Amino acid sequence: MNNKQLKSWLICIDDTDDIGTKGTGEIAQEIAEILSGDEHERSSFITRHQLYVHPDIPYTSHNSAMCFYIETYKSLAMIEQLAIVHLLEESAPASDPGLAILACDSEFDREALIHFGLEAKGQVKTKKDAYDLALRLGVSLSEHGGTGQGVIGALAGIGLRLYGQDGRVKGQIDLGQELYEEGVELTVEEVLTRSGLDIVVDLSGQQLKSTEVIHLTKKVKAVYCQHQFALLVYRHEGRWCNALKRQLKEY
Amino acid sequence: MMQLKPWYQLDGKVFRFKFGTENSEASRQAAQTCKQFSPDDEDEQIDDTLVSCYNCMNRRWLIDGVECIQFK
Repeated sequence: MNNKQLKSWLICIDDTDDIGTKGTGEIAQEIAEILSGDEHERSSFITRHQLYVHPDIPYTSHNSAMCFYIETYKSLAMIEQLAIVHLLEESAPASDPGLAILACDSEFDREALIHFGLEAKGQVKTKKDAYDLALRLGVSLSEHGGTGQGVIGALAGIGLRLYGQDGRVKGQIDLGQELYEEGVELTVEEVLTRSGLDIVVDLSGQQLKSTEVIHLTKKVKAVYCQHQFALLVYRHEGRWCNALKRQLKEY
Repeated sequence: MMQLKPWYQLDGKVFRFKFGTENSEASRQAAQTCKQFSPDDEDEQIDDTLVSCYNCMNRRWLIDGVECIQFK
């Protein structure tokens, strides 16, 4: 009999890169694959959360954290070990990596985490703020080199993912649209089936019906919206089109 | 640095983009002129046209603008 239980976690890393080195998103993707490689284990899309840019906050070319959800049989100790080994191997020498791990099945103060995440988008937070909150809420928070400043973004990223209305999905959604200069037309239902996304929403957050047709061109990206992975669309010349990057910037 | 003077100005120690954070047209013009343009990670790009200072690895977002750090 298999006594192992599948458990849910949110994992977030921040400040792992430097100019010209592997990006934080790519490292997050690799950690997600390492942690969810066994049968029945799975990981979600990775979300990128923009944090505050301020002269007092050191960052590479942006200031963003990368967060993902996994279901895994692995224990917290095993998750920590595997994630840390990979962070140490792949983080840039000049970076200040932080790692946050939240057991989703545990009881925790959700609102406090969300509050911290939202504050970190608009004000300077300190490592002490992050460690104090993590300790109080039972979130695993650790630093792995440099100043360890990345713990702030890592914890904030967890809060922003819980908020459910923040972040762009890492990478692009390939629905064959780049094979044709004019793009492709798919129904909402086809988009969702082929992409693994949950919903299609317009710029005001209104969900589109499954029969609506979307005109997809060039780079298609998704966002995290209404606690779901969403394709953002806008109305242009009488049809629905995938959002432009400047429209995605709000996330 | 001279080649970028129409779009950037020294503001103390900061080589600041004159056109703020919402002027994609100016950002593209500047990047097309610049020999040091290098695209940032795709996830960090915010302009649909690739060659744009807003998409460059050498840009830094400020509270109220954009800085180019290639001359630092």
